[in-house]
Amino acid sequence: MIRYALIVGCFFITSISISYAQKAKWDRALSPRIANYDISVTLDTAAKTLTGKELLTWRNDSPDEIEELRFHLYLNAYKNTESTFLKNGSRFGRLPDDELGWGWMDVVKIEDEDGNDLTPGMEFIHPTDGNKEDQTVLRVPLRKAIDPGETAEFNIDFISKLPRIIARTGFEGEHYYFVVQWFPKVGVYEEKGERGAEEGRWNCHQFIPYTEFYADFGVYNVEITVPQGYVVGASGVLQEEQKNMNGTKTVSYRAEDVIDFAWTASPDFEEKKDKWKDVDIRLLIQPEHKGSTEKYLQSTKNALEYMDKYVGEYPYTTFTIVDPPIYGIGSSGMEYPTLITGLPAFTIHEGVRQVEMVTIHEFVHQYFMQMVASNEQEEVWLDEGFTTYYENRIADHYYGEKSSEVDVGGYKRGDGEVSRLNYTGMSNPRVAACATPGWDFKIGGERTIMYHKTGLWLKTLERMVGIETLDKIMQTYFERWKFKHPTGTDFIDVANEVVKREHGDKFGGDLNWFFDQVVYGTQVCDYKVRSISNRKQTDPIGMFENANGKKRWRDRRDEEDYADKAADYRSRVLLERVGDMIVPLEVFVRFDNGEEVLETWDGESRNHEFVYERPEKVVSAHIDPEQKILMDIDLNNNSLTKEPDDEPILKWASKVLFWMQNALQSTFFFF
Amino acid sequence: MNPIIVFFKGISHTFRLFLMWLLLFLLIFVLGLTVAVPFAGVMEESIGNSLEISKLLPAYDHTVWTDFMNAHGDKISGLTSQVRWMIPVFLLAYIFLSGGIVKSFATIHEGFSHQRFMAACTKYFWRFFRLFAWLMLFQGIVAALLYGGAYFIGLGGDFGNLRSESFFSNTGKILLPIHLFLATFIAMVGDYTKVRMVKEDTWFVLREFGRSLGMCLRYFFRTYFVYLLDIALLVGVYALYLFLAPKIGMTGKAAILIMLIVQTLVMFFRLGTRLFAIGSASVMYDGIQRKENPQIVEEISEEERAGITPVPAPIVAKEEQESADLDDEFDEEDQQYNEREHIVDWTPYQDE
Repeated sequence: MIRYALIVGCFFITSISISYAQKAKWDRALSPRIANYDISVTLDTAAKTLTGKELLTWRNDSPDEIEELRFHLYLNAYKNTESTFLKNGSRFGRLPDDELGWGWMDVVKIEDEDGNDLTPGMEFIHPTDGNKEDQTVLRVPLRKAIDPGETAEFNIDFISKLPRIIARTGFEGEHYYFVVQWFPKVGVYEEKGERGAEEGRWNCHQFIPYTEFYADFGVYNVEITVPQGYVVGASGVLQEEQKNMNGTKTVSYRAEDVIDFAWTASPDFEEKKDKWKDVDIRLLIQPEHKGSTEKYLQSTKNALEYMDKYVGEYPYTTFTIVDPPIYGIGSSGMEYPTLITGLPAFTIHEGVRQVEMVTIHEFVHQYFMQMVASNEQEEVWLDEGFTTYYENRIADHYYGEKSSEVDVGGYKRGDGEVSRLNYTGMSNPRVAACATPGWDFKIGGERTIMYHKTGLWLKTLERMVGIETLDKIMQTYFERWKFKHPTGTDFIDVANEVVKREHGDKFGGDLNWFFDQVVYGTQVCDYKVRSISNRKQTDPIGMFENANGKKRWRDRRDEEDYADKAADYRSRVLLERVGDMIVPLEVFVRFDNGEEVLETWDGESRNHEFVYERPEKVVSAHIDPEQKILMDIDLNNNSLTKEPDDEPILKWASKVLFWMQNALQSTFFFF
Repeated sequence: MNPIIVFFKGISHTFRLFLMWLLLFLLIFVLGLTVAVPFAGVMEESIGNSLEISKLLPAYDHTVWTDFMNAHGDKISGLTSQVRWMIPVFLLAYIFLSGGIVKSFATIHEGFSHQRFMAACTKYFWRFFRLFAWLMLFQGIVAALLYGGAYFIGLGGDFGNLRSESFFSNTGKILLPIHLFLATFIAMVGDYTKVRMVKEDTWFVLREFGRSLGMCLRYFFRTYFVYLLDIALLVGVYALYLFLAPKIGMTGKAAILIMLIVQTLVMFFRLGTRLFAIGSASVMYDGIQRKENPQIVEEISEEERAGITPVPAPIVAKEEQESADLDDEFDEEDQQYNEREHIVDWTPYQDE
């Protein structure tokens, strides 16, 4: 009896577990579930290491025999300055000044399901840039090829050393951990024809700045062991929390139909909860930032509501927002499946909405990156650009088109406006095309082109084809390509199909003329009303033959020869295409009797003229009066009026006068 | 030396120097115009005929403004570089003019004289420039000690050690009021040093600053209270402006012109508050000197008896009349001083 009592007692003492397992929202797989992971990992807070055991269950979904696997070892990007990432990533902050600050990942052992040790055959390869010192891609030859449709299992032991936070991953301070790209992660095998592949191939690029990630969907069962007292947040759904005798605890998470798994741990987190429909929203916030709680939660709910309504259903039951401490700001503003990091903000004015913008942006990535899993390395625009577009839309919808980003003391600016300005204000907007792979941006501009230019041309497309059509394009694209890996061409095909269906040939046979310029080209759009002239009509003067064939001189003094003319004025509106992008346009012309005429111009020629012979004078002309073509880098020169309004100039000149006097009188503070 | 009386006397003395006030304001206004008028020209030439410009009338429009700056920023950059050199040049000019300003307050009972003003500007420029340099040094030392101290003590000299933004908040809550107090106190001592250097006609900037510091510490509550009243008046002027601005709007020509007048008045009175402070310091200084050195009265009386500078009768009469209302609040000692004040003011240029 005592023996039994001891056994029962030991059970309670050695581990106390709480089960949180939730019912799955779906009783079927949403994705192909090609790469599935069961990982058990322990965090060593002293050494800043993760010791893990990984069971990879991988299905060969291609018609090819697979004779090798390729893995991403992302943390090796932070191993030394010879990695491709650090050679090109000086913009990611200072390098560590102590041994503890560097990060790396070692695959200690890898075995196939038959127990064959594959470790001796492992080698680092460098498929992207040929840098032989880079260790972010590992090739593992297999003893036995994996047949088409066959599923294989691999046991992998690994140790990951977390760096001081760089490119969102690592540790900072005594006990803040943001753990991403932390385990050996298999690449994507693309069969012939998939994403333009001419033959079956591994798509497993080295880690390069601004190129992020690309992975197959799967199910992740992850057990994370951390010191007790740490609050853990992770992708997916919490299954169980178990306290261990050695002062640690193990939390188990399950994430289904996702492309990655990220987690965080810190004893400082305060947990806030909210709910939108059946989605549990969990905010892990630093105590000093709790003033931002409502900003985080409300903006998340806004984004959930908007994306659900206009794009498609959010299929997961959880969403976690991690608020980093100020010293961990390097991990802020990043997206992972069902988990994002926000922007740490101590006290921030209600009208300054950076926290909301970042939260919305990262949430939208749950659609474009996580569910529609395009290749973030080769076609960054497909996730970052689309996300920027929806960030602008959501922000402008909930917080005002002209005030969504900042609304403080009369100074207002919209998120969409700022996005546009990022592109239109570029010193060289022709630096590269949106479709340029991340590693081909040699002279900068990648963020603006991939994020903001894409967001801007999507907004332009929205205004050209109408927001309802644009929504149909996006809904079709989402439904057709969720839980798959689309390319830019796939999106363009959807756009052409929907626009043709909705508008017929209104925009030509397809919209390739548009995408060729904005996605694959570097053309810049700038149209201008060059001049308006109104000349009093007079009879022709000079030498004319009369009915008898005799020459007769006629000039203005011949009053009797003046005929009444219907048109008193000959008015010319001269338009100019300053940029090299060609877009069909509407031109709005107004006359001095208030009459208005809407003209169209194909926008192709360098100059175009509208001529009117009417009793009225042209007062103003306005190219693209509804501002559909937001890509036009100077909207101010799109219009011209003969009756200028001098009040705004007077107003701003008087403001400048006031500010200038204030600036001068401010010198009184010094003497 | 009732500080309220001193404060109002500072104001009344400034109004008596209205011409100086007006001329100084016109200088600032004209300098402002040298930026505002070309700015209006650039706007008119570049986007004046665009329909988009009307979006700038009801409020700031980020798109119109940034497109304007993108396309025509090079023309604006000429103006911004003009502003960049104009501000330090004006500071130098203000240091130069300060001699005349302080001298005019010191000789308030003789009215404003252009010749005296300009002569004092020239005479005190180098002394005041050195005082300016010392003041900047003191202000810099105070700021460095406060914030540098917090940086090194609180963060160990490395922002990497920052564990929470509450460090900035908590430190700011403590340091900012201290800094504001010390900065305004140093500025006030600077004003008293200017007054002392003019009234005593001394060259030794640091010594006079030390003496003024001692005096301000001895009469801390009176001197600083008057200075605070001047600052409060300045804050009040801006509060009134911020209250009126949204009500007026600037969305039509009439409203723009009204706002232009309001803004001009705000600038005029902002300059006024600076002059009020110097005027008050001048009055307070005289009061303190008289209190601490009653023998000065006798000494001066002897000089006066020697017939060096007879006090003009009309000014005396005017001053007596003006101060009659305020004098009720003076204590007996102050009352006595008021009568002698005209004797103290005898020495406008005899010593030069």
